[in-house]
Amino acid sequence: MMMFSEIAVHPAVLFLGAAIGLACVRSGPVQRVLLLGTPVAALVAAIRLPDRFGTMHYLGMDMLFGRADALSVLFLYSFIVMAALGALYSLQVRSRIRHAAAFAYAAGCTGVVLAGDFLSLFVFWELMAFASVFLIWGGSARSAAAGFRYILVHAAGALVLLAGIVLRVYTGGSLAFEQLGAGGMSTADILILTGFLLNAAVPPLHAWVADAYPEASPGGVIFLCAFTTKTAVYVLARGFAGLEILAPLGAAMALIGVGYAVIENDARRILAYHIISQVGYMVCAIGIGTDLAVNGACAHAFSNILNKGLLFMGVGAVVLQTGRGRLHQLGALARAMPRTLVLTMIGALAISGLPLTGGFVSKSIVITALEQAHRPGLELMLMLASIGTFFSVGIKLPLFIWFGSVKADTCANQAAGDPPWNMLLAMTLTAALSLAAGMFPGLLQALLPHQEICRIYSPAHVSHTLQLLAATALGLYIIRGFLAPKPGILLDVDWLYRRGASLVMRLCAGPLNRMNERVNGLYQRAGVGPAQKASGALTLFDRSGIDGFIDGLAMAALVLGESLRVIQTGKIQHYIGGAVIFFFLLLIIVMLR
Amino acid sequence: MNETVTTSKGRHVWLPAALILILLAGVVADILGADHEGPAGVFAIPGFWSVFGLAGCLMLAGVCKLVARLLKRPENYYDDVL
Repeated sequence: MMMFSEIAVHPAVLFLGAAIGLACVRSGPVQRVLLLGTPVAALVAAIRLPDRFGTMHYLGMDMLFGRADALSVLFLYSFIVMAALGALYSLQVRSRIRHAAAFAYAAGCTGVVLAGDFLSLFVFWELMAFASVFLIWGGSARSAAAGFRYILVHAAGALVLLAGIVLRVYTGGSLAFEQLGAGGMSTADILILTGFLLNAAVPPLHAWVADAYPEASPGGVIFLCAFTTKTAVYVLARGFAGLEILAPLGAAMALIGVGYAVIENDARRILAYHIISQVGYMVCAIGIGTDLAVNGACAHAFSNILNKGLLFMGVGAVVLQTGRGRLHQLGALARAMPRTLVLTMIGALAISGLPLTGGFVSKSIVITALEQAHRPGLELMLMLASIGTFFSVGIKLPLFIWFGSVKADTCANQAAGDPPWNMLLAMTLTAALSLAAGMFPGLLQALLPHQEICRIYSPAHVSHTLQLLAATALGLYIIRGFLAPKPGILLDVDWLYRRGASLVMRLCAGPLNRMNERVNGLYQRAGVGPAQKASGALTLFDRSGIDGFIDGLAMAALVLGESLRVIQTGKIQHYIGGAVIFFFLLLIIVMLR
Repeated sequence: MNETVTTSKGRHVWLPAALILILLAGVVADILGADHEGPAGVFAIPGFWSVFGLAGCLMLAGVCKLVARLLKRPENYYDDVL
């Protein structure tokens, strides 16, 4: 028995409807109306959402499709805004599947952040995974393989999550998605946490980000960088705020991500590793778990969605216009793509935490929360990650894309220009939002889930941030000769299922195959030969013995029947004669005894 | 040719000078704001974040360079297995 207690327009329904429309409609103008109109409609619907809606009683379980509290709403707005900006950026793309997948992906994300129970959360979680893979598949063999690896990793994560949910319900736990592990972590809680950590790209479950995101289309990666990991941050903040292990894990994550970003050569892979690093800040703050720390995690998610989106837009524009993405192949594009340079630099400086940007506001909240929680070790780790951020994204990335010398093989880049108007407009709006979040921190703080706030532009914070950034720049100036990017890729945990799987295949094709052949030969000699001889003997016995006995019996019955048929003449005198003979024979036998 | 060299050198001098000025300004701000709100302990030492930034940057670059030697492979490393 299903019963909806009340009706409200769920933003996911709008995105799903638009996704179906985009998959069917061929007309360009209609496509554009759907692409630009749907996020606006979804934002209006999100603003008008009641606190709770879409309750359903199904198979004895209470499901809640809509819980629009302060924590959900911040992420909901962020995702809808990024869906709008991503759609604007991708406006010139003609692939119906890509557009449909992007909006189905947005539907999944909005569904997850509004889900009030594990069952609906899982449904939208899976929608996210299966829709997003279509943004990675781009026609090349490399992107197809990356997409398959991506979906396999996420399917494994989803199975773990589902196992956790089922175990939780089976052991009498509630289906409601609330804070978990309050009275100690059960096995179900650990499984659910593992499923969430995989989507948050927490090491060692992080390699899928750097493997798959660089293979996505320039438009598709805008959605990817904003949605999956940030949805995971939301579910961690909802379900595991204050879980101690997350704090050091997040700090380590921030350093590992930025460490890879520092030495990576592929521009989009640098940004992908950087996602891991920035999500590390959020996971660390969630692990601290105080109201201010959770506010910091949410604020950093909001600003990072904008900043990372802006960076991917800028680098995507470069890839689109030059056809190149490796730093050693790029350089001296400042004159060819000046607007892209300015807008991307805003994103780079914002993510580095420069004052007057959104990144500064959110990092300040996280750092203040760590100071108040008396965690100097974690604070130093995150500050070191900040140095790496400015190193890799604030200086290295722009230096080798837009500046540097014009090398022989980069001459072709000079023919490139700024991208189409819609891409520039999307970048401009994203940069404006990031700057607005930095210049008017009260606007961002008003959206945060908890009341507790801190002073953002304190002299100490501004001074320390400027010192850190200037010292990093000075350090890089000193060692500038070592910065030159070199071609090559970096090994990561994905080696285990890329090379590792190949090794397993070789093991199967080589030693295991030979062992199989030997066992087969032994079986032929020791098993099949004697079995065939035994079979022949049994056949002979069957034919000569059993068949002979059965046939003989049948033949005897036939002869006896024929004899009886002959005896039965139908004449009474013959029967009386026979009876008399039989009587005398019987009499003789009796007398002889 | 000479002009180009001078400009290049001038730019090179100007950049670290500006960065050092920012660092000095930060240290002065730390000293002046020592009695006000801010972090405690070692983090409150004036100029701590300048030293940490410089040392952290050099250390990060060195460690990452070493790690890169271990982890770097040719571009086509995975091509046979995709």
